[in-house]
Amino acid sequence: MLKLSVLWRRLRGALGAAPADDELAAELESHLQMHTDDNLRSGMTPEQARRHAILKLGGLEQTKQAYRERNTIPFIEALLADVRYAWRQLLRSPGFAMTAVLLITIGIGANAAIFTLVDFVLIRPLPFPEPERLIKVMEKHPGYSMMELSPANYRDLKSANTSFAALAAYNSNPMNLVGQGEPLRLEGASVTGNLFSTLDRSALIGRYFSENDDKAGAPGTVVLSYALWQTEFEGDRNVLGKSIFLDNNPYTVIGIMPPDFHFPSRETQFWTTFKFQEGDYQDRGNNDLSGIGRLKPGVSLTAARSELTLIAARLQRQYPKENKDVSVTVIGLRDDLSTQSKVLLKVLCGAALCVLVIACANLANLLLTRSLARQKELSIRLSLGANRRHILRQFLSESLLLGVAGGASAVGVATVALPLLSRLVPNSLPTQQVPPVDLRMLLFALSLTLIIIILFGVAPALWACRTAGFGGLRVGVRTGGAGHHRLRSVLVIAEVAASVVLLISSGLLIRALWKVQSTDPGFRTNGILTLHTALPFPKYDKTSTRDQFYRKVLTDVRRLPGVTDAAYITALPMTWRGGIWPVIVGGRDQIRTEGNSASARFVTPGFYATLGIAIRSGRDVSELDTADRPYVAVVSESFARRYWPDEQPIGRHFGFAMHDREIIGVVGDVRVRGLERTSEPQVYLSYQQVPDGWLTYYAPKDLVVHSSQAPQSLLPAIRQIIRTADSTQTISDVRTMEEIVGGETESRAIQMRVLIAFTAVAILLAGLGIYGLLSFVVSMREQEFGIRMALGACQSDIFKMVLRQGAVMAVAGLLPGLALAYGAARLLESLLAGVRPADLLTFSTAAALCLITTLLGSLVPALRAVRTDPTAAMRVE
Amino acid sequence: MGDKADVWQGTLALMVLKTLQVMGPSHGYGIARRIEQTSGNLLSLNYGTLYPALLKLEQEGAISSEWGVSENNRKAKFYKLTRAGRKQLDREAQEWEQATAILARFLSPAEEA
Repeated sequence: MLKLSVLWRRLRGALGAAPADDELAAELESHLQMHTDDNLRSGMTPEQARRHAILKLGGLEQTKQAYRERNTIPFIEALLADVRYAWRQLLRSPGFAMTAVLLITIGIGANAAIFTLVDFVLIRPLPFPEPERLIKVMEKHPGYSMMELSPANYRDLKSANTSFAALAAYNSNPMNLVGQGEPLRLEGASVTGNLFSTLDRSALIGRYFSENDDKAGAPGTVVLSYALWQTEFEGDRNVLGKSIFLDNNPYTVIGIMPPDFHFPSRETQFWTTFKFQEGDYQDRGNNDLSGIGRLKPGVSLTAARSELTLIAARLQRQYPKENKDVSVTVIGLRDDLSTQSKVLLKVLCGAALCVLVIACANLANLLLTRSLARQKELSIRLSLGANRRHILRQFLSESLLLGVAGGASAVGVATVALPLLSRLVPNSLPTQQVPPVDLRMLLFALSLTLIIIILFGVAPALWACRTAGFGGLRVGVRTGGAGHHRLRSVLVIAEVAASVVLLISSGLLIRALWKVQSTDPGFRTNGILTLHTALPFPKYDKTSTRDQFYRKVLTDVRRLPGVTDAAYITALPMTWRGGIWPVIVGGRDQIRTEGNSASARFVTPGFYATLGIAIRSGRDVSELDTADRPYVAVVSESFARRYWPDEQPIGRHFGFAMHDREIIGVVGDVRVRGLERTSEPQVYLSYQQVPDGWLTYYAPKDLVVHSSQAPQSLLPAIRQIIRTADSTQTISDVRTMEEIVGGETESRAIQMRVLIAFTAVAILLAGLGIYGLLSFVVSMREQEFGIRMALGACQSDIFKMVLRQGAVMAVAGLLPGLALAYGAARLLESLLAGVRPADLLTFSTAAALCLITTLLGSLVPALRAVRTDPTAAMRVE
Repeated sequence: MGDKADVWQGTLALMVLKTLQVMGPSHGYGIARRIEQTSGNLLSLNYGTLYPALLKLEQEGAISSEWGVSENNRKAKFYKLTRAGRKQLDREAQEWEQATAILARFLSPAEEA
């Protein structure tokens, strides 16, 4: 303890916190005065008295020095002196200092931001205890990589397996909250009673579900998310035990989850239980549960997979018809991300590394130039007896200052940039949206900074000492040494190569994005407003009650000025990938064989006109297609082509969605599953032709309105119309069709913007690198140019000579760059949406851009070389 | 100078502490003079070496200092023993006596051996 306090006082002294010097001076002065007084009394002359006192003290300065060494820690003081000296050195060349800091900021900032994002999405453990034991369980059907579980299969898997400590299930179940001010559409999840205990997260307040809450006939209970509790219930603890109304049914609030609990997705605002009844276990084809299990300690994912596969095989034998070809697959919760989002992030990682390489190469060149310029100074210092360690320490101090400044501003840049990148965090990740700036990022940035400090502090110092040592005094600044020159050229060539890789990668991805964006979705996107009015059940169980609502809303909306048409549909294209039913043609049961399924949507008349989908033959559904008339269907072209390739499809019958349907019309195909996926053929059914209480999940929810006005301007009027039709009806998901389609490419677009920014920085830095090196070379060869000109070389010769040197470096970087870029493009192939990795247009554009940049970079030095004044150049030195 | 002993490493602190115990609070110059007098002018003390020693003792908490006025009306920094300093003095004095006693036995003419 004593030791520590001494160290602390000395450290304070070293950092100048204690004003020791002045105080010591005063004390010594008083000492001398007292001694002088005594000496005077013993009869000395005033001069003698003072001189004797100083002598006896042993010298004023020596005393002060001894005192200072005691008061501080000499090593730290020397370091501080070095840093102070380095600071002054840097202030003397602010251009160099700022450029170096900027380069470090760019290099580390880009990597810190991307690292944090990638760490957050791909590496960091999910916010559950022992998250590596959490496993998703899915069914596997021919033609689909993954399929939800049916309740019956879930029950059988749960009771038969021995791999899982617990197996739970959930699905999405949005409901309307009424009675808390404005009616509100909430994202929710239905879960089995053991879900929370499987995840092993407890409630913030109150409790989560027990198995009793999940029993058939148990009273309704609900657990709220922290966000919902804060926004809708003002964080009031008294909400516990109260009843809230979801879809007009009372649920007792039993608990609030912590703020960082997001499951199954970030949007989930509440949880209720399934309360399965025996009847729910009848249909093995009703795949709507996601399974999540917690492995028993010590059981591996592979072991669980093989056990579940065995159980699935047994179920196939037991239910040969329903479970035909149905297997089971498992995947770690952490790994349940789309390949696309993984590849998107990896590409960004690679790009950030390229930027780092380029920034470091530039930095290295900058430092080499600087140490070359200081060679003379160093030579003098070395020959005057400065030791190498001292010079090394001084170089380190400089790079320490630069590194710390650059690293700090890089963390700032990354912190600002992160929220902009947060859209690259997949929605399905059960975590918060914006990756937090935390210790992991700081440590990452710190270690990069340290590497840079040491690498760029030590290397130039060693190099400078070596060259400066051997007669550095004799050698002029002009002759840099061949080895030095070669190193700098290699650095510039590496920069060019890395920027070519970036140029081509982002070029290919731009082409891919354009290609995806130009994909015809099959419907019109401009001038369309869409919104969600999810009707609650059992209030709207009766088909006729729903029809009244739709008819009232649609009639009033169609009367609004500017509105050309409006319609209702179960779910708009690209908003729901579910609702797939097997198609039964000619009495044959074609359950679940690949391609024999189609998406089912109920529509009101006018849907095709509203979305601009062409009716190829036959007619639209009409108000006359009521429940007591034959059940009709409008099918897409691909549907008709599949089953009746050379025949007239109108009038044909097929079994679909629990009923026989007659085809009355054929319409254009739309991309139900999104721009980049293949979609099943589409079948549209009349909104009136469904028995009461059946398929209520398919009851039309999405209102689409086409108008000649700006779509958003209609919103207030439409809200009023819906409120008039049903004052407790919620309105949610108000979007234009452009936003829905734009959402398909949003993460691509963001990734591309980041990539373009990186590429722009990279190509700029590469150009600057060439410029810097050539300017240096030109200034070094000024004398030579002067002599050449004096001997009759013309200006164009010199001009070409410099340009040629730039061109050689450009080509030397371009060739390996192109090869590397092709390799990178192969890795990106899954993102390229069909654009070939060796796309000629992209490669040639990138090569041209690279050459133009290097040409621009070489132009200024070349012009300067041409302007060399022969007489002046030869007179130097 | 030749017949005067230099101050051995480490003993100066002990002398300072002892002096402060005997004289009570005093300034650097006073301590220096007193050490010389006590040694019967046998010690050659560079007064300047006293100040780092005083600083070290103060850093260790054995003494404390404050500015005051000397007997001749000069402004001076006065040092005094702290409790910890008194303990340190007792301990070190004892150790020192022990060490000198042992050495004395070695150096005195051998009687029993």
